[in-house]
Amino acid sequence: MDRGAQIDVTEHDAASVPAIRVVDVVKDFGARRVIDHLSFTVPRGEVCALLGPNGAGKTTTIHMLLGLTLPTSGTIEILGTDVVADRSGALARTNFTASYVSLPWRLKVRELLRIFCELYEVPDPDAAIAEVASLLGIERFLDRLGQSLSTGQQTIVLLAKALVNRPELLFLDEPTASLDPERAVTVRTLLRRIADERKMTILITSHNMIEVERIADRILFIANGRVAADSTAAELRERFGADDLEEVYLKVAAGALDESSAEAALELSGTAPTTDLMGDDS
Amino acid sequence: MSFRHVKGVVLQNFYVMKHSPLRIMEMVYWPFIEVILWGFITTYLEGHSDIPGGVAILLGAVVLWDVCFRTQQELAMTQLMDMWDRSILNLYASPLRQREYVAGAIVFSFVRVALGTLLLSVFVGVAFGFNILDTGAVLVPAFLVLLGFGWALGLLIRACVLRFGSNAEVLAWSLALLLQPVAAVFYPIDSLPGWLQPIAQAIPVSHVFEAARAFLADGDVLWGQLALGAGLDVVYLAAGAWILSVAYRSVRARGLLSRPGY
Repeated sequence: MDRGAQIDVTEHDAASVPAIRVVDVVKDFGARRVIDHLSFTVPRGEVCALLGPNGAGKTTTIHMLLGLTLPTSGTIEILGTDVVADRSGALARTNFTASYVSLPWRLKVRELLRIFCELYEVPDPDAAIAEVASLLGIERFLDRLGQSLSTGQQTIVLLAKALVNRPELLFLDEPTASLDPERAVTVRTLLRRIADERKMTILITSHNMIEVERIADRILFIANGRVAADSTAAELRERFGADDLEEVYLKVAAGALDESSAEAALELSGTAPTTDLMGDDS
Repeated sequence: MSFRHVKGVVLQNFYVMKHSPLRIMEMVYWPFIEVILWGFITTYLEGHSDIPGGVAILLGAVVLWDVCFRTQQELAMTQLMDMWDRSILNLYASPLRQREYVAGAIVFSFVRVALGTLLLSVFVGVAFGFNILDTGAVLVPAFLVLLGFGWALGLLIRACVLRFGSNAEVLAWSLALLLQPVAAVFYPIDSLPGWLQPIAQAIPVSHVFEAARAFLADGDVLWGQLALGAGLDVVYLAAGAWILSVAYRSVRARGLLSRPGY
């Protein structure tokens, strides 16, 4: 771990260090500003959903948190470690999966999990693999090649990869997008249970509002690279006069914020909402 | 540098090879075809040439050149395989550092190249009566310099693949072959046109082949040539590592790392 990257905290204070701290982050791709002075904090043990229309900057945000994309300016800390200064140290107690990441075709499931046990330096790989296989019910798939699994099964295996190191912080980018409704419900329930039992922090993006409403403690709406709203699902429904989160989403995404709801959003997030909420989908 | 991260990359490459018969076959298929071709050519030339040690020089060159070519190809292929699987994001989103990713690929490629060279050497001995050990004291330093230049080329190709995506995969097959005509593999540097000779002098492996030819012809060990080759290797390895680190930073700044097969 690089010197100076670790924030100066005692063990006693470690639990009070947020899981994610994003301070005034800007990301420009050429002349296009994708993330515009984004700031937010996710405390440990919270399940936080990152919502927004396509092109709003959700995936860019997650990729900056993972060190895959470098911010133009600003600070990003993961579990108290600056991700730009020490990406490897910052990610040691995290994990990640996304709908757009494939399972390697030429690897057996057990082999894939074994590799990631090494990359995350899991003390007892065999025990960790057995535990996660039992948790997700994939024991019978352990000795099958990735190419022999269905899309849904591959998604579950990638979720097993994301849980094999018992991460303190889990990044999920549309994790249930390729699952049938029944499996998606099971995965959501499981993730919520693990988060509660292990005090695991989850940052999740999804376009499934039912999923978000059921799993998330808190919702961050991002539009045009900024926080447009930041609250619980119940508070957002109330503020936007909506029956469900989908209606809130549609109002925000369609730029339906009128003067009063804009004030409400401002009050909720402490950040000025944007008017063009659809963003650039290019 | 974490030993377990490097081990993870080595394991991954090993598992992928285990399930890819073509990856096992290619270790020997092309080198054997090349050796058979050159074996027959040299057998034919043997009766029509007065070059001292002619057969040994040509076959020795084929075996030694293969070390460099396979090394650069292996180093590039390990990254390309991850890209083709579209799973590379899993690796980059883990605590794995770029230098550990490369170190794992280097360890794996070394084992494959060493094994391939051993098999090829045995085959050349049995089929054409050429003993690679005839290269004497030159053999080990030559192998190391060839390995080093293969790694330097491999780092450059990995940088291009990282920056330009799978569009750059053609380099994995062609970069070393592009250099072969001016790398003095089969003929001395001074047989090249004058304007090409400085280029040949700047290539580390040229000096290895000059030293190997001199030993096979006269039994002289040209330590100066071998040292020059090793010195050039250091320069190219440092350049390769620097270019790769610049490419890694550039793709992260541009957000390209997260685009599958970009």
